Amino acid sequence: MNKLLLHIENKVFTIEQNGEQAAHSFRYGTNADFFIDKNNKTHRYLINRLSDTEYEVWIKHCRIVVTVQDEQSELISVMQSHQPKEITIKSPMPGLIVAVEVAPGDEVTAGAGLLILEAMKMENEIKSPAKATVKKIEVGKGDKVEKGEVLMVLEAK
Amino acid sequence: MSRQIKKLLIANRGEIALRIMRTCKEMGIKTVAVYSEADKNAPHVFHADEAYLIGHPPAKASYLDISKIIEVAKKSTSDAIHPGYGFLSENSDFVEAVTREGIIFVGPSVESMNLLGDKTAARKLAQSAGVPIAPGTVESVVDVNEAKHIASEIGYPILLKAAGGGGGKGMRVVRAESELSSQLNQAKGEAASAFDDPRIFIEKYIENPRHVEVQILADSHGNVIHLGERECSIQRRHQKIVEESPSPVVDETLRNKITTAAISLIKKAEYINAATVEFLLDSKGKFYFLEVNTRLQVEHPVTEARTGIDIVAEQIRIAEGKKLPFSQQEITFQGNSIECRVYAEDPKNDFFPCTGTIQWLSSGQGIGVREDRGVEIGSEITPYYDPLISKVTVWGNTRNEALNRMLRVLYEYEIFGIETNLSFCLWLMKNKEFREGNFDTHFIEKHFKKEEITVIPDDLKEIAAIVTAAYVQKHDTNGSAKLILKNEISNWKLNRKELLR
Repeated sequence: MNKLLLHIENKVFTIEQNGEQAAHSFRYGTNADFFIDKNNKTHRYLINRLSDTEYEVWIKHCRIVVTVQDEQSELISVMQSHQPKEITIKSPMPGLIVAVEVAPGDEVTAGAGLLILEAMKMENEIKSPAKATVKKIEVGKGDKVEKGEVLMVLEAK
Repeated sequence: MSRQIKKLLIANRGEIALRIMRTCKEMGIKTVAVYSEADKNAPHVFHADEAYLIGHPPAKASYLDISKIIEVAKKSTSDAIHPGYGFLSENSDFVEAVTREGIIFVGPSVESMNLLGDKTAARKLAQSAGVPIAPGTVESVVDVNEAKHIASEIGYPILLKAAGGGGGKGMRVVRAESELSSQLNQAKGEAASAFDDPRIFIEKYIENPRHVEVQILADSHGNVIHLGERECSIQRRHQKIVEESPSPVVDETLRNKITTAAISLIKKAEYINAATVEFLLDSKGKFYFLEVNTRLQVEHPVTEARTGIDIVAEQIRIAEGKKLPFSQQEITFQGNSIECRVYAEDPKNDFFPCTGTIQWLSSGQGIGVREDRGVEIGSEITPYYDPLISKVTVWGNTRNEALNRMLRVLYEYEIFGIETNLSFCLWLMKNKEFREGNFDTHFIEKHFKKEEITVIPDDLKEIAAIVTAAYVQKHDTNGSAKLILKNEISNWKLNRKELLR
């Protein structure tokens, strides 16, 4: 690893190995680890690997998703960024589909309701994360779904 | 008739099971836990003197299985059962089955539970006890014509409510006559499927109400006392998140009226054990009877913090047939207390419940702090039960001191691995309107904007980037460790770039 690009929301951090020495350090624990910053403030954190490129960092009351790229994959992603992006809607928990509120071809805005999942004795509306077109619907009313099961595929605008 | 309880079965799980066991231990009573397969490693299981597996994870197959629980009570020679809250706590069939076996039920009689569980019967009773009720019907409505007639008399908006149960099921606000027919049909359908009882009654809809409730203790010798009020207006989906005592808007005159009303209702019902009488309080200071909860409430610690009275211990003594050890005049109320319910739910996503494993938990401690928690590091929050992680209760000499203390405790509190509402609770403790006491049951819809808690501070983003880089360097792409470093000084150069979108 020579150079890493780390994406967090709309920020990109570039980290170069063997660059100038920064005044922070780590201490590793059994459950959570510690990071000591340049002001000698110690922070507790926990990191989970979600996929080859995605990590989540829990720190204080935040969950921060970090997408890691090296220079080569950054180039590829820049070239792909002009193609339409697929969004897969997965079930956040096991439950029962009580209603599907959209049909294939429907255009939805960010925050628009897609379907209603009953779990934990409550009806929860699953919403579109972005402006998109509904491409495929994998479930119907009355279906039981598992956590992580694909419910719908959208195409972002 | 007095009978000593030596062994008590707790027909519940989580924090409330632990809370009841703690009091039992202090009273020298042996405890028996029941658990489902999903809870075999839960703290309430190993905290008990004995624990018995009663079935599969869904509540119907375990914590709601009356015959299994009675079977365990007999096998373990328990002489009493405490139901906690939720599950079977307000199920009179359960009370009947328990008492039929000669086992003491720590709670009211079947008759009291049935009387107060039926919302129209409870309204009628309140009216006869001289307790103010919201204008409307004390009988369920026969048809839409009758409903229209009543609604035009009391004036819109009106509230349609199920006679058979609460929790927001079968409840509808109707703002105009044109909506009445369809809303009534929907409410009936919802009530029929939720409570097996389609009866609907009508109440005048109270705009922007506050939810204020009175804690009552009643023994079998005719003594009925109150332990003050609790303010529970901070709610989402008709469920409370934050409760406090005293209410910031209840003055001494109103307190006298509302507690007297609660006591006369409980006396009229000839009710025995702990109860909570719930009221709606309108913006002009008028209050209306809502319902009686015939069980221990989730938020009872705020009352315990102010009075120093262990409500569970009193419930047990009352069930044993003993007299209350204090009179109304001997009860003193000190300072202010607040409770936050820490839930596994995401306030950034409409308080959507979350499941997963608690990978790290470190709770806030220190002066004036109490925590009731039924999970620990490694515990899983499953979709089968209420996603409550912890109840944090603080006490302070003044409301301001209690608010600042809660803010400090929540800031100390860390939970990693699962989303929680901690960020919302922190936001609330800092909110000006809340701190000034200006709120009602619609506070969250009116004032909470998720944008105010979604911002991740830049310094935390920077730390996240560095610790991720360190992690990537230490591990192969398949996640296994390449090298383990105990302490290290990083030597990366960090550049920040703002991406424009």
